[in-house]
Amino acid sequence: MVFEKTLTDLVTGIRSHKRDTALYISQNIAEIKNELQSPDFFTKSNALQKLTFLQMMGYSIQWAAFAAVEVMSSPRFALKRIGYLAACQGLDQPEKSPVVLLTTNLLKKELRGATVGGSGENIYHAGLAINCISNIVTEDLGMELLPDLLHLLKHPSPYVRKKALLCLYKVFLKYPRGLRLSFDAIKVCLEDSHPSVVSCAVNVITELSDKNPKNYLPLAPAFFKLLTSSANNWMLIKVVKLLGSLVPEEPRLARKLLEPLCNIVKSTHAKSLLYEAVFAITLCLQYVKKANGTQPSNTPEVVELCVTTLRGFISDPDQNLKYLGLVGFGSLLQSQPKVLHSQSDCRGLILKCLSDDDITIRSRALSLLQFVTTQRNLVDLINQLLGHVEFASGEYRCDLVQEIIRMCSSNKYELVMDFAWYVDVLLILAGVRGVKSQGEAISKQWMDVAWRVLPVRSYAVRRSLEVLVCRGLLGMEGSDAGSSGGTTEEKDAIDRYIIPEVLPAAAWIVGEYSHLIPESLESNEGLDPRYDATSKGPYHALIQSLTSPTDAAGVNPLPMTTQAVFVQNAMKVFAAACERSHRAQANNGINLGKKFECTDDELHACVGTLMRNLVIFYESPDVEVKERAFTAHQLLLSMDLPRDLTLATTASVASKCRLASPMLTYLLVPEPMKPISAKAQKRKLAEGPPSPISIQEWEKDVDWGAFWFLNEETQWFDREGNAKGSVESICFTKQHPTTAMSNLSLGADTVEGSMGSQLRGVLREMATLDKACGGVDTKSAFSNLPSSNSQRGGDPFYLSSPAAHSARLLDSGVEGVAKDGADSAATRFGSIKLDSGGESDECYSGEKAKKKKKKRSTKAHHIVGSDDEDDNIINMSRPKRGYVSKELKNLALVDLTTPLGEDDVMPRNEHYVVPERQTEPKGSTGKTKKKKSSNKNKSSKSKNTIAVGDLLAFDSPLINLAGTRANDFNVESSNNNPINSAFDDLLGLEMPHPPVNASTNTAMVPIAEVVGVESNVMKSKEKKPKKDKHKAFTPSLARSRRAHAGVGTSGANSSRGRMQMQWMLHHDNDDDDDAHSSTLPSSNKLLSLVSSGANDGDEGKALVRNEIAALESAFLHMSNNHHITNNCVAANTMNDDDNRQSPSAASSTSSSSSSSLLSRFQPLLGLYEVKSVITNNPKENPVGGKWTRSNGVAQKLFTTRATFQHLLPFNATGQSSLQLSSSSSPSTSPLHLSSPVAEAVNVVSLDALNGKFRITIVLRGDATPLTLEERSERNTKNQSTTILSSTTVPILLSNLAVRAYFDPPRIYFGKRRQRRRYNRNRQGGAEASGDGGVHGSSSEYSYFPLQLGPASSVILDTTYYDNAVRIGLGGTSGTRFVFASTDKVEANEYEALLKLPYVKKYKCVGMLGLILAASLNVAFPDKLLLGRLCTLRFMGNAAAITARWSMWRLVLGTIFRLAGGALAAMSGMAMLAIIFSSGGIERGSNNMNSRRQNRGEGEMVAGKNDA
Amino acid sequence: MISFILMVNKQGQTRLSSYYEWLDMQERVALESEIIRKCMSRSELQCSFVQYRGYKVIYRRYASLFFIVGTKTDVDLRKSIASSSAKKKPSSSSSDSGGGGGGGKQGRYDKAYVENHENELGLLEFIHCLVETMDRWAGSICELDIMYQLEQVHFLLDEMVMNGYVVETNKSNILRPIDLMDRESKKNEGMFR
Repeated sequence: MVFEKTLTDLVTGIRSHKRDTALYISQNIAEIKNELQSPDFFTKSNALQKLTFLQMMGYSIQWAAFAAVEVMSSPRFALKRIGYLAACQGLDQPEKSPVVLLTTNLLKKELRGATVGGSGENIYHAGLAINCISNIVTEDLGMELLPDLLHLLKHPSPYVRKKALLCLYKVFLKYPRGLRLSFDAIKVCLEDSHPSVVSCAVNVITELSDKNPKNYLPLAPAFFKLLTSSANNWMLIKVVKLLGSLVPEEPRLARKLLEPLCNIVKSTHAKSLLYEAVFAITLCLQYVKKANGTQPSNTPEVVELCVTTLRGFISDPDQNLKYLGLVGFGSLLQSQPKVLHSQSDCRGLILKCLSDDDITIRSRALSLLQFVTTQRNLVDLINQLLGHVEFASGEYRCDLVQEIIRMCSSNKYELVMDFAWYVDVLLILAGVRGVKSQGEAISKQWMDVAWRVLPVRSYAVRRSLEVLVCRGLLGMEGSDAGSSGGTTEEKDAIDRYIIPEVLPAAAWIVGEYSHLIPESLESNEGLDPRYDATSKGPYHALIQSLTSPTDAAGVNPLPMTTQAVFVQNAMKVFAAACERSHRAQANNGINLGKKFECTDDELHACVGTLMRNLVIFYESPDVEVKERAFTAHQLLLSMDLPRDLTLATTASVASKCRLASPMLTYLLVPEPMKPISAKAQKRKLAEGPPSPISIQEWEKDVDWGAFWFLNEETQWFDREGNAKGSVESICFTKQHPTTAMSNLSLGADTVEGSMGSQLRGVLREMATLDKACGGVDTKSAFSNLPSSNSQRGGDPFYLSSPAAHSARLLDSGVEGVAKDGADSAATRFGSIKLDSGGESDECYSGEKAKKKKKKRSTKAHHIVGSDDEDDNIINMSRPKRGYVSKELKNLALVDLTTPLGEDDVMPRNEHYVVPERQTEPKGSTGKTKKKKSSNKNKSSKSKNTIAVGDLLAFDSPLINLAGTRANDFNVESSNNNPINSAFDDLLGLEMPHPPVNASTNTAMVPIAEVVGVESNVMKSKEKKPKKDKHKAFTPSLARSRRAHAGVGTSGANSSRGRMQMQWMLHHDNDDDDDAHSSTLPSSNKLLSLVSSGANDGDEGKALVRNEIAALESAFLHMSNNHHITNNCVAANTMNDDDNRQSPSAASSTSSSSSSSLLSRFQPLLGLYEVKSVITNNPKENPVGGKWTRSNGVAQKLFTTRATFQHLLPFNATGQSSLQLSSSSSPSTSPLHLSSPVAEAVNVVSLDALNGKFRITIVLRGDATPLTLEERSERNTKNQSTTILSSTTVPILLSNLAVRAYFDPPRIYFGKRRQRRRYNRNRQGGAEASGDGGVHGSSSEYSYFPLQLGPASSVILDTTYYDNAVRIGLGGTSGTRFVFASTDKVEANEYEALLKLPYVKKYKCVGMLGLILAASLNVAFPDKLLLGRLCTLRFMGNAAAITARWSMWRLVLGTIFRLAGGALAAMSGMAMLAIIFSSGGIERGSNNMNSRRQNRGEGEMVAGKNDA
Repeated sequence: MISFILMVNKQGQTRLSSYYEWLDMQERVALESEIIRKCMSRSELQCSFVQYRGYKVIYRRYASLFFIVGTKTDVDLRKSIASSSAKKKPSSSSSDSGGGGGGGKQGRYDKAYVENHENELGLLEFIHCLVETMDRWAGSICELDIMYQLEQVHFLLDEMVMNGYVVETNKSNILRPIDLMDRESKKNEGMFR
């Protein structure tokens, strides 16, 4: 294990493998994977540590999650820390990670560990756990751990309190319900004595109040107090922030806050707090306005203070402060937009920031600019900014452009004095590359200016014309290369880049105001239109540009929407050209003095270009473009123009154009839009739509009779109107009936008569006749201009044609129906316009709604109320508004203002309570028993079933329900299964019995319980083939396996299982065949783990430890539930006498002691074998003391045969009372405050020489329950004594804790009985004890009993028990003992042994003393007076005399002496040993508080405990 | 809240990273490299705040090591609250200007509100405090200290910041448990190796 790389090696390695780092790391990861397999915790944690480093370098380590969890469970803090770190850093998303579930119990244990108080190390353990929780919490985990976390809020150590508090926020995020339940506890923390805890509470509440501020308004006074009294800057920052977020909810607070905040500003030296306070003031200022509209009197003062402070920030050389100052100003200006106007120096500072190196600062300053600008400096500023635009890049460039537009457009262009300048600015911006995203804004502005600002309109037209024509030239360059004799200037212009998004705007302006073309050209003499030689004039050049074939199908075609706009506007331009020519002719050729007249040539060229190019456009794949081009083309044809223009003379073409001019104008050139004031528009809206069309009319349902065809079965619809195919395949698209120049509808009039209402007619017509008239129907030219329809629809500035005009048109429209040909077309187009007449807004929205309705209805074919429609829209738009992550939203929804309801309770883990069953009459009991014995196999089988059934119910998350469910299951199964119903009687029969003789083979099943159950089924199947039944069980088994898989984590399961098991085990006594068939799943698992020897390694220990933890936590809940305890206890006592086979049952115990105590401990009684010992300190050896210590003498000579700890009813051995009264130990008797409830007998049996010698050590004691005071005292002491030990969890004693007062240990030296005599060996030389034999009953041995050592006592707790297993907990050391109930023969040996008369210590010592004296005498015959007198000396002399004459004399003498010396030495040592011996007890004193005792505590008494 | 804390050397290698909200591994790597690039491209003269992908990043350089703290707030949530409140009282000014004036105002308001969510100066102070604490812990802290004692540094950091909030700024309070732990774990160290 020493050869693995440590983290240091890894880091060094990575640094030295600069070239092939990836390779090196992948090798290492492979190594790490191996190391993670190791059972050794150190290796594992080392590997994890390396992984954590790699994770930081960007390698995913999710695959090691399980290892992390394992290491987390290590008892050593140093290792545990590594595990937790890895878990925090490297786990998969908690919701997805499979291992998070596994940590539940571990975390819970850690949290509970801290609850004892004091400041022991365990608070750091808890700290780790809490930290981890905040990283990996999920909803389930949160629900599970919330109670424990809340408990920690009252922990004496602030360290724990603050961590728990902060963790709660994360828990709430995942488990919002928890907030309501625990908010009171958080509030309490605000008054905590420790400032850091208060600060954390503020942190949490600040964060929470972000989600839903109004919940925390009631806390405002508390925070206000903190604000004025606290001196902790960190916390003040948070408090200020929090109050700032409350202000919008409660404006009164804003006024109150101003003063204290100002005080802070004036007094604090911390810049961060200063800034925070100023910022909060700026927030408050937005809300200080009183209800009557006045500002508090101190506002100017406060504002001044803010400005001064912020100015200080901005002028600071520190960039950070500069930045913050700008941010602060941004907030201040929200409420005091004018403040900078009086601060010219501030303005200068801000402008300076604009040219700062730092882009962050620049963009900050940029956002302030709009507050700095005035009419006077606007031009200057913008020009500067335009300069910036050139050099800026990326995002910032866009920001700049956006800001320029915003500055100019703000407040209806209040700052712009010269709009021509603004148009130029816009054009410059339109030529900037890389700001495509702003194209839309630019084009909007451009159009806006053009139609709002009359004086600049012609200028705008001119610039648009330039843009288009230049572009057109660019487009035609390919075909007409060289033909354009442009100047260099021209070339520059051609090369100019224009954001494509701006083109539609230019086209629209040119088209809409085409009548201004000549004027614009004239008024700007200097600028010649730069159209090339192929164009005959400005109109022609425009038309060429707008219908350039390369736009439609070139290498880089324009967007379809732009093409559509182009086509439409080309026609408008053409109409303008015709009109111009027409008017010129009307004036009889008199030159109007205008320079730019439209000549015949030009008209001819225009027509030619249009005829040629429109054809190309109507090949377009886009419907819109196609339709418009087609309509336009048809329109031209309808003018009687020849298809081949070459056949017609220029003059004839021109004259035809002139002839058609009025119609064209009428069709294409709209009534000019005029701005009206907002007030007038409002009035208009208030009046509502003019009669006769009322709102009600609009709201009326449409007569769907018009849609007769929908009832026909068609290609797309069946008779019911259900769509067969996609509704979208029918072209209803893009109808905008109310645009000023929109041209809807032929069919409106045809349907009109039958409908009565013209508008409704229009609507229907749109639906029904769309296809029919599609070819003629010209769609709105603007439908794709972002600003056109919607703008007009929603913009109160615009009204379309006056109503009177509309009325006229209406008439003509109606008449027009009768006519045909081109003229009628004109009137038809007009008819819609009229509808849109006076109430464009209303019409528009109304129609829109109806259209939607119609669309939907085509699908559903029934009428849908418009209310629904609205809802629908809202619903659909909501999700778009911004995605709010689920958890935050949930948290925001938590409402703390309402009191807790009854259903708002803390989640609790409760255990399933076996419902009380009515006891059946005795008679039936006998009957069923009989039945059962006659059907052993049957009943065992049904036992399985029931076990399974119970397991099924485990899955249920609702524990309360589980009870009924289990019942149901039984009922159900009894219905289905005769065997079960037979057994059902038993179910009703009785409750659990004390498991004294429960067959414990179960405990020995070496494999996991599931396998056990399954294999058992198989076994019984072989025995009695009832295949169908078994089959039926199989699925259940599969499920039970799943339930078991969760056992480690879900304590609830095991405990309930335990209850079930109790009665089952009881029945096992009767049919022992299948005794091991059913066992409690969880404890069984533990047993199998333990007995398979898994607990040898560290890893195994960890497994066992986890298992124990699971059982314990289950039990903990369980024992809190008195019903359960009482239930089973009552049952136990009831059946006590009948079923107890154990020898200990002979004496009736219940009378001797208080019945309640007795009954509590009763279920624990039994014979138990020590199966496993889990110590926190590897050096500890709590079981058997020195006898079993692995490095002790005893273990070298002996092998441990068995260790038991039996719990017998009080005085079962008949020795306790005697012992109690006669005990000489002063420390025990006075302490017997409460009466003993049981007798504990610890037995350690050792063998040597293959059983020839045997030492059995018996420690008998009386267990008395600890009183409450003792327990709490103990708990506190444990806390303090474990500060520096690596104990993970302090020991918390339960009400099952007892103090066992042990008699001095009795040591029985036994040897196998060959010669029938007691072998009187000395105990000191243990090696010399009796000889032994085959393993057998105790009677084969002869014993020499000796009572040695002091009396002792220990505190023991029982943390879990069931029929097969009992888990003990050393009261001081925290050692866990696993006891398995046993029925081995050896287990009963103690009875005989205890009855043997034993040799008291003083007798033994006396005896040894004699021997010592004698042997000394022999050894030193001359030196001891006593020796001379005694017989032995004589014997020595005699020997010497006899040998006097021979060589032997010397030899013999020496031998005698040596022998005597040896004997003396041995007996002396033995005597000393006996005198000072502790009898194997390692502890020297009874002092419970000493650490020594702590270590040796359990001593031979393996944890004995329990009563 | 603090979303992440990074320590990065001049070569752009991460020396420590701690995330307080869950991020995918690829996201982490991408985020780190971009933020690091951004930070390193800035000169001493520029301010210590960078905005990136919705994070407000506050960084500071000590010798060759960048300390980077990223904070984030629930922008989406705020927006929805702001827009819902805006919906309640339709502002009279937003509809009458042709440009994006009204919308822009609302947007800026959100921005300002969100941006101040964590106090930048406070976080700078926190970074300084962190460095001082580490300095006291390791004598004079250097990059290698952090690399080789990654776990301890993490622990130290955990003592100061928990799930994104500053818990403790008192140096001795921070270091006490660490010293305790170190001593304790060293004591046990000899036993198994």
